[in-house]
Amino acid sequence: MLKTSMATMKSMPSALKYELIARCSTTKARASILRLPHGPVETPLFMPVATQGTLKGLTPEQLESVGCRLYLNNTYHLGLRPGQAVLDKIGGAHKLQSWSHNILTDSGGFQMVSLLQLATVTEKGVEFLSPHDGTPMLLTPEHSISLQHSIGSDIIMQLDDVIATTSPDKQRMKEAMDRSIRWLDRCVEEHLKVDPLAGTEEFGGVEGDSYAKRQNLFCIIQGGLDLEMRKECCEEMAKRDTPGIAIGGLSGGEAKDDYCKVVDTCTSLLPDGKPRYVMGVGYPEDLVVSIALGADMFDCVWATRTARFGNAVTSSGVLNLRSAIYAEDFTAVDPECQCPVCRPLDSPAPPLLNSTISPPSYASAPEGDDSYTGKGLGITKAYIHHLVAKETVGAHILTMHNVAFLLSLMNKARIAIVEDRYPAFLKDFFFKWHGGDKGKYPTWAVDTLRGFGVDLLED
Amino acid sequence: MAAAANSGMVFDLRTARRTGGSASGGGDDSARVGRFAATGGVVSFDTPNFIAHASRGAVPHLSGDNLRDHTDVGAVYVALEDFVEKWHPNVPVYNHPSTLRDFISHPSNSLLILAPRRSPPVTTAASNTDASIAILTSVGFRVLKVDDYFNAVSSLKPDIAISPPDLPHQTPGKNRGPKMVFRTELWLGELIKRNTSNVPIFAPILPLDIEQQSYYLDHLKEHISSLTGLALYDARLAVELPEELEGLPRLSLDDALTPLKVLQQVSWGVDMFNLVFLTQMTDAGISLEFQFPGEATTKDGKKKALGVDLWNKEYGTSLEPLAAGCKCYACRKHHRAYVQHLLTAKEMTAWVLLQIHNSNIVSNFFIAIRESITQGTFEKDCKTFAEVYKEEFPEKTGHGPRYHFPSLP
Ligand SMILES: [Zn+2]
Ligand SMILES: [Zn+2]
Repeated sequence: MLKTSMATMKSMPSALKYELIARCSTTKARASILRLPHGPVETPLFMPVATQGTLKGLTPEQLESVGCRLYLNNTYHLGLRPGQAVLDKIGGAHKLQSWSHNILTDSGGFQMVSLLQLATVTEKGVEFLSPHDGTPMLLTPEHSISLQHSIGSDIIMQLDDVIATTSPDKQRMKEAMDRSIRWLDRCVEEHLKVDPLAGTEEFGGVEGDSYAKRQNLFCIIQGGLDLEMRKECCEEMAKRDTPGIAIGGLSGGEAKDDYCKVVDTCTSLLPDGKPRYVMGVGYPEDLVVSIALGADMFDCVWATRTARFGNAVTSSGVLNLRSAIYAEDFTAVDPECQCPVCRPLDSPAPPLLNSTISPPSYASAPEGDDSYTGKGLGITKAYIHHLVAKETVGAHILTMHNVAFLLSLMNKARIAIVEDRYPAFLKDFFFKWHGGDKGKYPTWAVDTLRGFGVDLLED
Repeated sequence: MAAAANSGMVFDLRTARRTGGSASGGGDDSARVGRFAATGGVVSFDTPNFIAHASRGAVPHLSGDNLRDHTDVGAVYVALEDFVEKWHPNVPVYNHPSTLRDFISHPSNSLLILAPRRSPPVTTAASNTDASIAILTSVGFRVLKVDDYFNAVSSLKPDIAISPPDLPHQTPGKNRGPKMVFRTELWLGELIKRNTSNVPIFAPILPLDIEQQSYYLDHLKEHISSLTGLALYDARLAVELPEELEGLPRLSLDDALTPLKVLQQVSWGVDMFNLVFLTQMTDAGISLEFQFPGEATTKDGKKKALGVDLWNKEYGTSLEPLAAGCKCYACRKHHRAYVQHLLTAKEMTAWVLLQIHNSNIVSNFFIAIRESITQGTFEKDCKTFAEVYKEEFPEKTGHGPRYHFPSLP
């Protein structure tokens, strides 16, 4: 047993505040306001992925216009380009991309293991060959955290040892979990170092403050599909008292009911007063069920990646707008959607559903400025069919809609939780998503929700 | 002096200083300022000015919100060949219940100009016939019946329609020239006759000697009440046009590939430009920096660059705007380091920001040209510009955007 003893553990400051607003009386769903260094966000929350500091041709204000106040950057990519030295010189990722709201970064480890075939994991860290020149490199927990300090993200993730949940090697799984706990301690140690920017006018705080005063480190629960291992990991990691907790290692090829059991087990063990982030989940059905299981935050590249192939995510399911059936469909992508793409041309922006978040940066632009209006564009399925895969603008607008759809789905879920009608919301969602055909409902979702006494199939 | 066609657009020529006597005696003083406006008064377009070339109805890189909110693009050129992959009647844009403007959700603050082909057009395998134009669609070479174009003008109701010119691939020989004139006149007559929606029409002026099309020009004089403007495929002809046609705005489709060439065409009396270099520079990662007439800051005789190549590593940590003093969205909110990062990462946002910025530089260039003409300093200012700036844009060094996504896996 190599775990750090509690006696050597330092206490961890938090740069966020989790305010629980409401709880579903039937499921484990919760609604909260999460106050982060760059403004509040509301949970349940979907976070789009702006891998290299941008999202598929969208400007920061287009993302703001659909209510986004927290998105992801990938540490692996930003570490390679523009690189740590440039990030330090510029003053971090917020400044690089002129994003005045929150950023979450991953540790970079998962990207390496999944993108680079030759990455190997040892106790020191993740060893890999540089994609630039093939020289051997090493990503340690300390280096990952240091990179995320240079990025300056509001939520940073520990380096963890990720292996596929479907791996049959129980011993390797246990090793990965134990190692992730040890690496968490190394990450904490690095994160509690004195932040040289603390006390400066730009970053605030007091000289001598650690990075933990302005960036929130989240631990990542590992343990594959083994519920005992997950329990052990939850207990150990909860002791480290990080400001937030992620459930990792999922989103792979595991069966959906196994996935649900893991999330359900973890959320039951985790402290109530902290946000819970399930990594790599973003398919609408998965989102609404995971919320019922007590998860708060999600990220996924699916909705934005699929836009490029002409797939529109709508309340009535995923539509492939490249299909000839949409060539002369002159209706909005999703007539229920309130995003600029779907609203009639020049119609004014309606108030956002999430009322506590900061106003968009363009709202305070001086009079006469050519500032963003957020007015409607009146785009039809036929026009996207005409553009998609031929003009980049087609990808821009479809990405914007898809992000808007997921953010708005989360807002609607939140309102349902606050009004304590989340079970009805779930029924309504599945009914529309499958076009009213209950025979198409996935068994895992029906079974999981039945566990809470919510019967999707009843009328 | 206002030329009103029996349609919805009026061109009001504010200055006309054609004092040079004989038309061919050099057109340096033919620059003119005007305003082109919808009779309803909703959209107006001051000239000289540029129009942006759309691809499939979209100005490259600019979704409608960015085009509407962040640029002063007052007119957009759309080619019907971008919309007719399938055979009539299976063409979605024809079956749309409303107009082309609705089909492409075009912002209400900008004019829509329809033409059969893109400009410059891609050379086709086939030739035109008396009844058809050879075109290139996204699925290959096709033929567009002029009849279909005439019907499209009436049903799609653009703000301006350019009557089809008969343009051969090569310099026309002895027999081809007269045939060009014949077909162009025939097609214009037909379009005027069948223009049931009263769409403002621009008549083409062919890239032939003025003498070779003199009968056609007589025809234009006769039908001037049916015309709203002229589309010049050789801008030099602006100085040789008959006086009777002077009140019509002139759109140049004779690509002015540098600002200096724009100034030259302005001096010939061109009013509107299809500005090809705008998207070319954006795609090259070059941020435009020129102003009119510009100020010489160095005495070392070195001319200023027309733009900066943001691929250049020296901008990798530059928090400066894309161009000093520019007030566009991209310059107010972003910096060179970000654009470079996006370019090297091949992220589409790079070209979005560049296109917003470059179109702003070009808009300001034309505002300054109009002021200069109004104040009577245009000729002098052109000389200054030629002294301050290099003639050519910087060499392209980086890779352009990927327009075509990989097909479905
Ligand atoms: Zn939408
Ligand atoms: Zn600018």
